[in-house]
Amino acid sequence: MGVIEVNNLTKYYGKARGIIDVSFSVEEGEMFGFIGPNGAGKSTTIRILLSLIYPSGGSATIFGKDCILYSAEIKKEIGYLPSEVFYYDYMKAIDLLQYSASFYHKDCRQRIHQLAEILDLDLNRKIDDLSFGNRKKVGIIQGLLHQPKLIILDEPTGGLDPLMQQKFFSLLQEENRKGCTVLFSSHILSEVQKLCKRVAIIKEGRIIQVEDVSRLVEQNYKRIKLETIHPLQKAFFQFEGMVNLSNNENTYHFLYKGNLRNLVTKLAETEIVNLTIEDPSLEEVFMHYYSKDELI
Amino acid sequence: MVSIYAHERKMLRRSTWSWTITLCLLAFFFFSLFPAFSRDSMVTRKLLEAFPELIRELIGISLNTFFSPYGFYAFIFAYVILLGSIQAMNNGLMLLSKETRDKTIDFLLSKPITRYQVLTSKILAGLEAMVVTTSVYTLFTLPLVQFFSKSPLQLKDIFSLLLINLSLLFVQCIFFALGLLLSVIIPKIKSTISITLITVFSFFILDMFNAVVDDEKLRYILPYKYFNPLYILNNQSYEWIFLVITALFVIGAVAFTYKLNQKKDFLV
Repeated sequence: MGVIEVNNLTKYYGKARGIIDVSFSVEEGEMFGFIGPNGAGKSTTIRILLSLIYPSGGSATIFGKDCILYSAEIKKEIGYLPSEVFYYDYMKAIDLLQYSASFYHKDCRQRIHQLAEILDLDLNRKIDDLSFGNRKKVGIIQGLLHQPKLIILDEPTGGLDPLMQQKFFSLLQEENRKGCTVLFSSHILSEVQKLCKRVAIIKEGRIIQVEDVSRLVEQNYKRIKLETIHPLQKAFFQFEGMVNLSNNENTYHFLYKGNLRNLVTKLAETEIVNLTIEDPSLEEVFMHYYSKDELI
Repeated sequence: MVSIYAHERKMLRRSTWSWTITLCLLAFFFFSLFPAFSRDSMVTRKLLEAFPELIRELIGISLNTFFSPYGFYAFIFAYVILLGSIQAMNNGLMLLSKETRDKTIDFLLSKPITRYQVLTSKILAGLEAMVVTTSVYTLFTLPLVQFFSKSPLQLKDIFSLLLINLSLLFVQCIFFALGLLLSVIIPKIKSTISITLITVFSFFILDMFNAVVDDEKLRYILPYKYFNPLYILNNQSYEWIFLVITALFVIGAVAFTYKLNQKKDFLV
């Protein structure tokens, strides 16, 4: 039983599509990525998990309990950080954090100060006076101060500079080492690649694949660059798994999916000057899933 | 739950005291005119008689009672209630809607609390604000009336004054409940005070209109007419039917607010 189990979750806003039949599960202690472009349905899914909105169909459980019926109870162990943080502007950072802590019935003071120190945040400043990045830090502390068992992050890195992002990721990894499960939603693949082992890919409201990050790259097309002495006939390239052929004189670029041995055997028929076989970047894999007209 | 209540109290504190002081000042200002009116009551009466009856009715002046301190107080009280209902309705509208407007609702609802608890804490804080206003206002006006009426207050008069002042709380409850209900019905509220003013003044104008046409049936939908101070002065009692209507409306509106708030989708 996963920490999060999402079953055929569907949400329509009136007639507008939110998400359709979304299913995935996140195991305990896992850092799980949730990737998709803007408007794909990531936030909708997360907002249902937090019962900020109600599903039109399907269900989801967190810690084995229905996320709508037992919402208040399961939130004791959830830390949530949205993409844009909005707080009571007239409060000082410390007041907001204490207000936040007051809901958990445990002493979080030490943790608040510890996190503020790591993130280099002045707690005595008014939230209204904080920059976007500093507000984000308040958000991070607010999400972590009660040492939750599940952290839900909805595009959390916006506004953080690279150094701060690094610190934030280390914080998450440290929590994860202590057994904390993380659901990390993002449209930036490289950050998901850094943190997560598994990802669910969502496109236009539907999950199109749930996969290990490493396999996602492996199982995908390889990028091939082939240089030959003599020009090759077009017919030569007509074999299975080969797409997107382009050439510049005797240099050929194409993508290949399939057994590499078959490819190499085939290529051995020609007189090769140079051959490179590369994994596509995750970005390219991503584009493959996301482009409306299939790339390949 | 305690923390939201404490938070909301703190948020409301300043506005509650501003409103309370305003109400007290209003009563003080009007009432300090009373000795002048009553001293030259003949002149004043002549002056007022020169106005068409319609005008007198519109602004709520009854020549039979205007020159007694309690009658005069009843005249003032209409304006006290008007201000009090603005305070109450604005609070009712604001308590929930400011969380959605300022987008702090995500923060609040990601905490381990139910929507019932959020709403209940807010309602309690709003109720407390109104109780504070009515209580402080009452404590202020009893000696005020005594001072300007220049005769010791009879137990009967004190009781009548208490009943009149308590009706401030009842009317506030009506507008508070109406505000709460509207705040969960209207999808996005930008300015609570404009909705409040439109509503409150519509009722006030209807109320003046009714003073002229004097339609008994219309009274049932005019909260400002539910607790007539002159009736209270004469009978030391409310008209019970209106107390029942008030209770039913408040309970109904609050119940609907809970129901709708429970179902509401909080969008970004």
